[in-house]
Amino acid sequence: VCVAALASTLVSASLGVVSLWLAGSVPTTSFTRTWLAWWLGDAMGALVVAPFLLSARRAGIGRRVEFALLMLALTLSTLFVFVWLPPLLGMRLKYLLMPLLAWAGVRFGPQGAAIASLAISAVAVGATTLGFGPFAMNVLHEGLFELQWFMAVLAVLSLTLGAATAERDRAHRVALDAVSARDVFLAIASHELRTPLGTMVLLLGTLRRRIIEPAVGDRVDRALRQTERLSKLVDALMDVARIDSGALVLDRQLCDLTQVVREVVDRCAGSASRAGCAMEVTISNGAHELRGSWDRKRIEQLLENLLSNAFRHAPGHVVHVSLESDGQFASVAIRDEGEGIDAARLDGIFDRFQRAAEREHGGLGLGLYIARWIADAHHGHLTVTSNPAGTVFTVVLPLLHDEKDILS
Amino acid sequence: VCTPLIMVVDDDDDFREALEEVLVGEGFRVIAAANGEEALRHFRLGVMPHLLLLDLWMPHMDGWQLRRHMEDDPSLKNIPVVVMTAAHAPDAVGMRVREVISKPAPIFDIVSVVQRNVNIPSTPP
Repeated sequence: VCVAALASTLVSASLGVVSLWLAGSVPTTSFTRTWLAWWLGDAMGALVVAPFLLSARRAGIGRRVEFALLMLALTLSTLFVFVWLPPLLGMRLKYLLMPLLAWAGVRFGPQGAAIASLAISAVAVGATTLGFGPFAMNVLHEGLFELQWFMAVLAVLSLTLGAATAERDRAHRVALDAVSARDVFLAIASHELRTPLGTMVLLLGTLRRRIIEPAVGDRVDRALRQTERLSKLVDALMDVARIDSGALVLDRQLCDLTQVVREVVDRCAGSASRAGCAMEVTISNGAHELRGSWDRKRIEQLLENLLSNAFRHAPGHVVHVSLESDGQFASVAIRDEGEGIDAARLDGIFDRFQRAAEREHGGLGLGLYIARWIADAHHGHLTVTSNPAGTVFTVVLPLLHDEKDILS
Repeated sequence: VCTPLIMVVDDDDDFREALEEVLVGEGFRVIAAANGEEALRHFRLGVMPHLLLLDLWMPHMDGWQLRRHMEDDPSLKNIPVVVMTAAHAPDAVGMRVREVISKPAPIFDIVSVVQRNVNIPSTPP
């Protein structure tokens, strides 16, 4: 629009002024000045009107109100500068129009900038023609020439701002589309990966029920465990992808943490005995029933994760699980008797892919990252302390104080 | 008392057949459908299961569509439905179903969900 407005009006200005000069209406001495005034006037008109016509589109109520306020402020300010204030003061304050034009450009794009410039131009040209304002001079076209310079600078600046804003909005929309495409892909990938796993678990399960020979049964059990491991890896990858895209949400319900801990400990008995670990559960006074509004499945996932970490890092030792409460918060501490974790490695232990980079114990290293997310999402926290006698992971979760809380 | 009838609606043939074997082993009768349309054909022929195990993502007619059809039909409205899906569990939020099982699920879990939710038939269907 800028190039078209500046270039196409060269023709009209040249033809017009040359014909006036040939007719003798314009003296040779003021030819250049007249031509410049003509060209600037035409170019300004095109510059202001074209984007407005090109970019007309629908707007919501809120934006209409804001636009009305902007136009009111613009009209009043322009009247002040060009009509009501003494010319000298108007000369000094004319740049106060700039922030309003910037507002128009940033909030309403090239269209807004064009309308705002048009409004200012209309009032300013009218006032100057009638002999008001800072640009009113003895010779009318001199004044208009100065005014058009001033308006050209303002219009180009606000149009540039408007164009940059429009460009940014476009990029934002493109990014949003990409995010939604990624979410769709995630949902499909998750479904397609888990479908064959579901069938494998079922087929292996039916096979297991028929087998009488122990050696074959043992192999089927191992295959089932590997399938379970694979499905946990898929779940972890999908969870991390959902955390990153903000698509992972909690499904809160009223539940008792003590009961959840007991169930998880029971469920992990098999993997504990395979690792040669015993589990010792201590429930302190006042922690026999800990009610909260939590996502039960996610809390189970968090605890299973911490327990399986303990089995992996301290095989053959006792894993201590202790439950406490201070009336406000419930805390579950899971302590192993392993060799502990170096202070240097402790720092990034909740980062993604931490363990994958170390390659000592296998796994993707997503478990603690997800575990911390789960604790944080419940407005709780997950912390770790470690020394050469073992490592303690402590998860703290807010208790429910009022049964009505769950409704909110 | 007659044997409860379970309808399994899932587009994965291997899954359907394995589940059928498990449920028959648990003493249920099973009728299978590969998508919502097939399930509706069974209903039109007068099949009235005591529990419907429903997958969500299926070709032709998916689980959500079949559930809506059932809710609009007074004769099908009261059949208990359990969703069994490999999709993200929150996908089933808002569906009026008894429970949601996420695939992969161990046989033991599937069987206990079925036993919990099946209507005990008093008269032959």
